Amino acid sequence: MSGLPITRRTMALATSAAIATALASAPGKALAEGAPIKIGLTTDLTGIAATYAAAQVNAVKLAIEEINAAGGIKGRKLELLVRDSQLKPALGASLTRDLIVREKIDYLIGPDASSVGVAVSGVAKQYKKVVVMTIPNTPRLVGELFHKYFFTIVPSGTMLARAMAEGIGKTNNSIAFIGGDYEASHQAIQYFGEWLTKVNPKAKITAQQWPKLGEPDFTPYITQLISAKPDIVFSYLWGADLIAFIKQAKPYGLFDKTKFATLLFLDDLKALGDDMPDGIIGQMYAPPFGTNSPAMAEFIKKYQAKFNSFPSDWAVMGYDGMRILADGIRNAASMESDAVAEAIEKLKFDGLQGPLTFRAVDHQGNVPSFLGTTGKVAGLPFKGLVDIQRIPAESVWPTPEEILAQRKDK
Amino acid sequence: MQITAKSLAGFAIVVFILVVSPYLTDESNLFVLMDVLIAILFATSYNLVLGGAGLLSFGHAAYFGLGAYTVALLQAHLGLPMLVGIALSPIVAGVFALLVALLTVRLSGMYFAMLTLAFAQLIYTVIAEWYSFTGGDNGIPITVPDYFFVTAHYFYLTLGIVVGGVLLLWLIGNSPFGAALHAIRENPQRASFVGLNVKLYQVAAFTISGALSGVAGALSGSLHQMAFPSMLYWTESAQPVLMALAGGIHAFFGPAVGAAIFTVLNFFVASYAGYPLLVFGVVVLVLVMALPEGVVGTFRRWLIRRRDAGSRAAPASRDARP
Repeated sequence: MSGLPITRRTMALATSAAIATALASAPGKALAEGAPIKIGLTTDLTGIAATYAAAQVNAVKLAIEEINAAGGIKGRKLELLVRDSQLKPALGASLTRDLIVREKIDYLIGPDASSVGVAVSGVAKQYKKVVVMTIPNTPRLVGELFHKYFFTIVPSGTMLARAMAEGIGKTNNSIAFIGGDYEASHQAIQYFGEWLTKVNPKAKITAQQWPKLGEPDFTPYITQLISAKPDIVFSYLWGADLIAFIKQAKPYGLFDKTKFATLLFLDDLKALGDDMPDGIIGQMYAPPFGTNSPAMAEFIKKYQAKFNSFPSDWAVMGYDGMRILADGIRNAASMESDAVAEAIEKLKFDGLQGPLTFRAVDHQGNVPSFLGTTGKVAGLPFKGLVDIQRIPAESVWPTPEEILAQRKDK
Repeated sequence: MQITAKSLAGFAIVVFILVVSPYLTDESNLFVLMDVLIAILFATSYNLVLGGAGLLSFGHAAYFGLGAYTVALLQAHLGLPMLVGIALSPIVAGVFALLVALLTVRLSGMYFAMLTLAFAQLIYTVIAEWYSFTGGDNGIPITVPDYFFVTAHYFYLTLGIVVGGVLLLWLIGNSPFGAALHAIRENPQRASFVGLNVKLYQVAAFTISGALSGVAGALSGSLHQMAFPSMLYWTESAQPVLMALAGGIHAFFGPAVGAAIFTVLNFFVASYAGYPLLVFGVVVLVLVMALPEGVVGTFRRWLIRRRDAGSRAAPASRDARP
């Protein structure tokens, strides 16, 4: 055991070396006049939501490129710094904090997963940094976690669940639910159920199925949904889960036996291609084909030319989110977070999906959501939605009283 | 094993560097250092079970996460401040570790690992699903008092607790209790013939380890102002195992070095490189293939070999020193 003293000393040296490495890295740089305005983006480039994050990063880059090409803001260029939070909230908080204190970023644009959104919003609050969220949509962000530097242009979980109840609740009396076993689905069915009693008191949720996220075998759920004989199935499956479910449910004839309404991302339409059955009711956040305007057509063209892929909902919101942040910086009296937050609150933004403003109580942008039926859309290489119904935010978002009550409960 | 002047001096130097680091470096590096310190406490307390008692636990993320939830839930439901939560975290995490240990130590090897994993997943599931109590899978916020919003203040809190925890583990490792654990690790049958109550020692080691992992989790949750169910998820349980193996499980400071390497690497890879999981996989592969005894174990072996070679060549040199 005579070797131990040396070991301990070397241990100490090794530890100090590791610490020194950490200490030696880049010191903070002072912000000079004319230096670029730094935008920080922490998002989940690794994991099941990586495609969404990639589209978000692309769209934000595209918006920044255009703003810089037009001379930047107040004579300063925009610079984007991207970090990969890997769906880990703690890592998201660390990386966002590091962007603020080490890289001295000026403003934040939103992350990907809602859990990381919660973490990023907390850091933004602590360091008084404006953050515009373009993917996370848990109602807690506008509820008890709200602060004045937070803005969102994503239809919240509450808005989507109510829009779904508006869309399918009036004409169907027995509704079966299937959703991944996690917070967003539980909230969805709760808000859906509450709104359902308003639009159709006779309607009942007759069955609920909770497969775990990433479930490979949906067979037992499919047979139970069929045997429940509902008028319609309301699904809160998305991504790989929805794709697997649809592929497995087809041979059982689920889509012939009952109507099917689901949350739907453009990425899933792309992935399913011709395997996507026609006649499914899809609810979408911000599909490019949901808005027929020259601005949207122009955006689709630019995005396709640059990234060689059709823009998804996340690209639409990422692009608008970045331009909203830019307009806020441009209109603000100073570069300070308070001034920029105030400017965004007053903004009348001309977005890809139409005019957009934020309300004071929760900084929720009045963004629409969309319901339609799956089918062939001219000019799309995969299936899209036809008979699209645009549901304005104002018809489904929680009233300011509801928001305040939600905050008081916590 | 005894506390020697050299080892104490080495430890004191590291602690001194850490104490003055808020004056040497900027805020951003302090945050990385805090993550490193927390990982050091987690990995070192984990190693009391792996290197100390020779039990491969694969569920320590549960105790880590329980520590964070202790702070968050006491605050959310009883309005108790953060420091009270941190102080109570070892008790809560320790009680759960004790219960799990009582049910698992009768098994050995792979069966023990699988059962600790199963219990950890059970705790994870309860926390992730019990929406009304834990806030479900998007986590529950922790409000930090204004005083600890100053980074240096929270840094000193973290440093104090981590140094205290590591010293405690060091004392435990060098006590008769630690010697008995080593005997059990090397040969449980012989240890029981000598008269040691093998199961009792293993339960005690597991409980202490779980309790201190809980403290690490409480510090981590308070640092990130949030407790998340993913802190308890089974993939997180791999972290202390990898850190301990990378650093070396048979050297007391091995897991600490492993923790520092992994945390700093993870941070910079996630910040500046693509494909973090690929980079990680390659690092682990290289460590396992090239340094089976871990960084510290291999380094120690090399030093001993060099010294032995040196003392053979000049046997009088050591004694000739003034």
